[in-house]
Amino acid sequence: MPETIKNVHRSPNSYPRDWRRPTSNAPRSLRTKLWENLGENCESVKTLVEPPKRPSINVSEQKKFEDLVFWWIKETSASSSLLKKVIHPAYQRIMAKGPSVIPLILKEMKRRPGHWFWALEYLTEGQNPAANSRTLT
Amino acid sequence: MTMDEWLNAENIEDILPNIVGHYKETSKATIDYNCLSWAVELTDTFIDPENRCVGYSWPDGAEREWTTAACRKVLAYYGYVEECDDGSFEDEYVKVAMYVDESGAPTHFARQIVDGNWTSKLGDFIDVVHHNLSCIEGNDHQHYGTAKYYFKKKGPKSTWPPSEEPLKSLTDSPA
Repeated sequence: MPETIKNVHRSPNSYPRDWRRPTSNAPRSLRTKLWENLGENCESVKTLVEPPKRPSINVSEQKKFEDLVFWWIKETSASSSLLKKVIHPAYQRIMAKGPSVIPLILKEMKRRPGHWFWALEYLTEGQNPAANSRTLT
Repeated sequence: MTMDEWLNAENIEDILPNIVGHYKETSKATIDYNCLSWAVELTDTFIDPENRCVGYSWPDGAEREWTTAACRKVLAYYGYVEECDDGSFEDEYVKVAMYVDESGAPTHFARQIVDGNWTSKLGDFIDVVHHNLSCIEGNDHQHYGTAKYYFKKKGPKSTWPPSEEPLKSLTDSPA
């Protein structure tokens, strides 16, 4: 057995980058099959589950997001009304980017508190990951 | 300049140029509370009708909208049941001024403190003590319009923010 495969057995966290660990969301039969095959042939496992594409965030998207956040803060920080804040064009443009912007919002919340629950609620279709917080630490 | 520096610096003077020389910063920038919270002496909640998240609140009984009628009910909920004509100093009362924009929508709230000055939370910016109500007025889209409605409740005025160095003596201070 190649060394890399042994490593996979030793630590589930040491999967190669292009793999995805089986999750509880995967169909049970598929998960079982995956684990059965894992010990024998990693390549066959790789073909069983096509790793879903994770939303990739490139530098320009990050920059565009930060520019929008800065625009939004500059023009709405003096207001005390949440509605005024969230109908601002910059905030609307951030929401229009879709779920791929969620990691950037969460990252922004780690940096500083903000009124992001509205956007997160919209982007997660009600399953707001930050419903109980204005910041992430 | 980072966004944090921008929020904490005196950029409020760019947005509200008439405040220059008439205010004293009394807190760092925070979004834990807003001007309405600060007006009713709360610092642990952001009073807004869009209170769908922890940290935001809106009293029962007030319409869930940012209107003068709904904000009147919010102020009444916190004891400001009497409406008055102006922001003149009255010994036994605490007064709150409601600012409205040209469309009549509420934009800001300020509370009178013990030395006759006013205290405001400026959006997500800092808290300030300001000498008069007019220094944060203005009709630019980021300004607070005009102080138009006044409310009062019986009770001692807040001594916070501390006013050892008042901006101006009460006798010089217009209402």
